[in-house]
Amino acid sequence: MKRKTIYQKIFEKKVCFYCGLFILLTCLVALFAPIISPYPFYEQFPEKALTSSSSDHWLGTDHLGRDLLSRVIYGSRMSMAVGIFTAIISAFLGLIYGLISGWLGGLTDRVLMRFIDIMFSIPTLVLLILVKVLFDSFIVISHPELKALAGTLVALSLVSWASLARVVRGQVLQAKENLFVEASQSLGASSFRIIFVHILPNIVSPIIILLAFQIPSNILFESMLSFLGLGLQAPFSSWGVLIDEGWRSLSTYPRLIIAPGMMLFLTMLAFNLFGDGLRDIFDPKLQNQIS
Amino acid sequence: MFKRTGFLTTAFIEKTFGGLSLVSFFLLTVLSFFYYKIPFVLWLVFFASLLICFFIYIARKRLFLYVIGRVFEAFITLFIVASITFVLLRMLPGGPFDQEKTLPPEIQANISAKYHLDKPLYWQYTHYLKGLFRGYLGESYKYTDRNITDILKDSLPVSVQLGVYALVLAFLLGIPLGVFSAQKQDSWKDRAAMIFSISGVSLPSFVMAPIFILIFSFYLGWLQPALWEGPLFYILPAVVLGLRPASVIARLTRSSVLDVISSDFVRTARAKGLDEKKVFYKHILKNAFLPVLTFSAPLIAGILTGSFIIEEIFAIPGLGQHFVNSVTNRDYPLILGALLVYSSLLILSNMIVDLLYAYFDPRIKVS
Repeated sequence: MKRKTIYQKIFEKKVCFYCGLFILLTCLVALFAPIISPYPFYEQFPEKALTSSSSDHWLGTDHLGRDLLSRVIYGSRMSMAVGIFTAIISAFLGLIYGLISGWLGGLTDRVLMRFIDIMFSIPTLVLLILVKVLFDSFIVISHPELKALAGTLVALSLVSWASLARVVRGQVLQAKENLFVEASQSLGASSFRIIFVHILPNIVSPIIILLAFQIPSNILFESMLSFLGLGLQAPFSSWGVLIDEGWRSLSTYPRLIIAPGMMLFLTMLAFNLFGDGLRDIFDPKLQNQIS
Repeated sequence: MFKRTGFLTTAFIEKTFGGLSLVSFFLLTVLSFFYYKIPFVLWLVFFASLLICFFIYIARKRLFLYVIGRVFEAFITLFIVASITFVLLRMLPGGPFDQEKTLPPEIQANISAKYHLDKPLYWQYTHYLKGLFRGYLGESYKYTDRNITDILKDSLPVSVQLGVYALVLAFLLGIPLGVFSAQKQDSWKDRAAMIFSISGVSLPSFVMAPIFILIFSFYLGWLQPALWEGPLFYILPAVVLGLRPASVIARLTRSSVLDVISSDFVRTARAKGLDEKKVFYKHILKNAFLPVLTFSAPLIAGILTGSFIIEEIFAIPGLGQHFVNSVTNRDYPLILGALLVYSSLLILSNMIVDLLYAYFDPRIKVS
């Protein structure tokens, strides 16, 4: 019997497939935002401020008369960029840290793991804000959007690699016990070769699954930072910024919060369901370790 | 078959006091929720029975040395956390008394001298540590003439109160939901429960809160949208804070119940004709609870010390607000104090969870 490829398996899981499709679409929208969105995100129509949806402005306008649809479209750029790039960077960091800790073992392992324990005993949001404020003072980028992106990326990556490192370490410890590792060692293979040829391929699937769950949490933290006014600032658009604006005018214009809130919810839902599907496909046994 | 070695066994006493502390805990929760004045006796009963239960458990399992070791370790961890955050905070640009209008240099110097900010950093560090040893957390820069201890005393109970409601909701909703959907696996009921819980995981609290406020306080007018003054004020923040952990717990419980149901010992228990209720409570639920227990240590610490977002949105005077505001204000002693409270709670709940593993699964050796 021919083995099914991973794409065929994803296609068979309908929920997973549609969530993947939704994610892909959102990524494309974010990538081609300047082409798709009807107006630039900063363009103001003061005479049409706070109108509800019309044929010109599908989702209506905000208090400065900016088109909400365009702002939501532009807002996806920040969320998707932070979500995906942070996951990649923190995967890289966590992989290296976990590999070193798990492979070397002994005292190194204990010290490295104790460091992670200490990192976990500081609340994530506080650590995130500390690192963000610190890096904002170092980064010299004049473009405010890029600056917010870089700061959020660095801060989030530095905060979120630890949980990945833990899982990688656990997996490495398990993989190390395999007989083929011992065989390879007795044949005189270098640690470098064993790690890349024997261990890494065996721990790839849990890492991919964990990454799929890491992305929504990154998106959440990014919009949380923007919501708190520590991420992107107002003329620029991110879902967090839009939700913050909607929250400020909740009692008078509640519709402003619906669209960005809905998009944030749907994107996180899609990523979570996609991660669930991937986990079912790759390794159903992992259910208890990662959630 | 069974040999009873007398009525007053240690296990029996332990169970009695454990039950007593649970009952008094629920009484405390309910009374405080309905804004009644809580009798002092109840607090006494709660803490006394909890302590007695804890000590009997430790003695029965012979874990005294382990606990002492963990407490010692905890102090080292707290010391490191305090040092790291101290250094990180001082690396931040700007100081606590930077204002838009620059003060005359003499006044600036006087303020710096009052809070020892003019001394070298290592002096401030040792000074702070010396204070910590005496249990003195310093004075707030922002709230003038207020002790950090006083600020924490005012704000922590509010956060704990909110956190307890949220936790009770999370466990009382999450575990039954997970068990229910595991029992009805792959039916539409299971699907519905899981859709509910994955939505709960995916809906950020700062989206959920405004939507709930819109529905329940603006349109329906049932609940209060802000402040912290009675049952009608408590419900919305507790629900918003509790729904996400409830969903995570439901998902965890479902998968671990499914895991346990197919294990050998459950089949054996059924095969020897054990009554289904006993199989369920004694064998399935007790074992399925382990992953939930692992998850609940950081959850408890995080929720009890207050969520910044929730407290900001609902204008609740809890501890959570200080975590972020004191960083932006550069109120170094306050952020350090709040962090130490969080870390101690986290370490404490981690330790209790590790001890409880042995209760839920006697095969696990705590050491």
